[in-house]
Amino acid sequence: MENLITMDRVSKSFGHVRALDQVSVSLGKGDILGFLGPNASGKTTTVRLLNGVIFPDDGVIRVMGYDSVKDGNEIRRRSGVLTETASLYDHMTAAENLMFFAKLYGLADDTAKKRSNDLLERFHLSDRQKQKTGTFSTGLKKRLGIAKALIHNPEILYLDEPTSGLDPESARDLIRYIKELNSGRLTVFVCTHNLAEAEHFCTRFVFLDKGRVIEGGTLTELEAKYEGCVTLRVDYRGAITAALPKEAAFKPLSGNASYDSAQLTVATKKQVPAVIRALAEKVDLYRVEQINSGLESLYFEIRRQAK
Amino acid sequence: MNRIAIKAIVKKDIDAIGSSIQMWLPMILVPLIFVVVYPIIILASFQSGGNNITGNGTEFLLKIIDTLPPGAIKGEILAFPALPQQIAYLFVNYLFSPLFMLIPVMVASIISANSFAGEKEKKTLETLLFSPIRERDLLLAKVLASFLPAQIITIFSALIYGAVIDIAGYRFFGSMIFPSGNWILTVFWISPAISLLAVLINVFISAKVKGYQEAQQLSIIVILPVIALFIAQITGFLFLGNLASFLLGAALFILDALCLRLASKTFNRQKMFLSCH
Repeated sequence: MENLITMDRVSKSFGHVRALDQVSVSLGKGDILGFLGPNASGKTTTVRLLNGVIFPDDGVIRVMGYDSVKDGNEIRRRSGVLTETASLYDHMTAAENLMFFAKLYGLADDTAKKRSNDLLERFHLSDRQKQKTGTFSTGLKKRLGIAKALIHNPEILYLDEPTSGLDPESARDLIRYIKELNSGRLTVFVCTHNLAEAEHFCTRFVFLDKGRVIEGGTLTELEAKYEGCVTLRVDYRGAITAALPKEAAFKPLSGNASYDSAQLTVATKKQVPAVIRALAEKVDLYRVEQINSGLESLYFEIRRQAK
Repeated sequence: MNRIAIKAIVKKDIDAIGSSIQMWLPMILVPLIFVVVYPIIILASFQSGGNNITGNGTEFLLKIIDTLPPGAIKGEILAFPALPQQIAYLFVNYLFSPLFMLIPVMVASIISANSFAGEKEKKTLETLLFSPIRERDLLLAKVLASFLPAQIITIFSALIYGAVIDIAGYRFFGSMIFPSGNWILTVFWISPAISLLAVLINVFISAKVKGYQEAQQLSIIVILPVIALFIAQITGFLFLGNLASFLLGAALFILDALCLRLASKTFNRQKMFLSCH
């Protein structure tokens, strides 16, 4: 796959603080990359470096074939950025904000108006287009901020905590829209803390800690690499201890009037079907759910192992 | 040069003035006090006093007239037959001109402090720097957004001042005394030079500070030379006649050119970006 972004052993310090240390990341066209890590791990610094607004101390960054130090404007012309605060002008209306940014990106008036109207409609802001953004809630600002980042139809979209401050409906709508855009081959770089959301819409992940990349890959690759014990939550009715295979560790949980609950732990994923079959023969099963699966478990496991 | 982007930023910054009472109120009130209240008080006090005015202040002003070098200015003043007319003419046509320069300096400082430091404070400078605008175009846009309103307000203030002097002082002076060559130099030569300097100094200040209030407090240093000029003029140390005004304007323009050169070298995206955080 053609690499749209390549960071090769990039380091950046601010005074004595090492913000990024020998970071190498590549991103293919059409990827949605989840850039994950705790606060101050270097996520936002990476976005700034990739857009050529700050320069690396060491290493090389190429974005869409351009050097981030020499060709920053060319990169910025083709990239859209949603910063953590939406960065809108409060004294301007929603439509005026979009028109202003359209002009900064060199859009002709007609194209800018059409694009602005389309985006206002897409983000359900048409009825607020004449309202000053100073009166907007955080969620509305975030929606308009994303519209602003898309006004010039960028090839790469950078999103810094895109769903923070959004209500669940708006967050879901935004994720759906990002997926739609991605199917049109927009490449998306998402810095987020929201692992549950990231799991649903990112195609690849990079884990960052203290300015270093500690892991990266697709969810399947990461799950294969970090496969370990599996913990299940089981809702049941019956004598479960007699039904349990010896390889499953049992821990009762508080149940309710209809059924009992327990936590079962087995050493590998391969043992799970046999355990479920054995239980189904002896007790009534209402629900079996793996509770240590997914990105969140991986995140903590990767961080634990990195330490 | 990206003219569309420059125009968009200038328009946005000028629109921002109208939306903030903290900005537009002093820019209207202070010039109005200077160009309406000041000349009316001066003219009214000299007209009501008749021809017999005495006191230490009068002697001091007469001394200034005496120490003026022989030539056009002294001739203009002494052409008036009565002492109150001579002193009032000295006040409204000469002593006031350095004070008038506070108008472009103040307006340029208020707008430029908001333009850079204000954007930092509101975290919008970051989004501007993420756009493909070149540093030079951004600097030019920001300078124009402060300089143009400062010049427009200065010219309007001068016109109002002239109208007040000519209307309220017509009978007193026996003729319309505004505009004089001295005022044309002040408004169209010194004011643009000094307001540009105020803007450029604010660019440097804004690069160092985090917010609008801090930038505004520091920008007071731009006002100090103007106050010094006023004191020099009123004490007779330096009298801004036509030649002195021309030379002062020329010196200021040279200083502007140096500051502009320095600003375009130091106005670096990374530095501006890092100063936001």
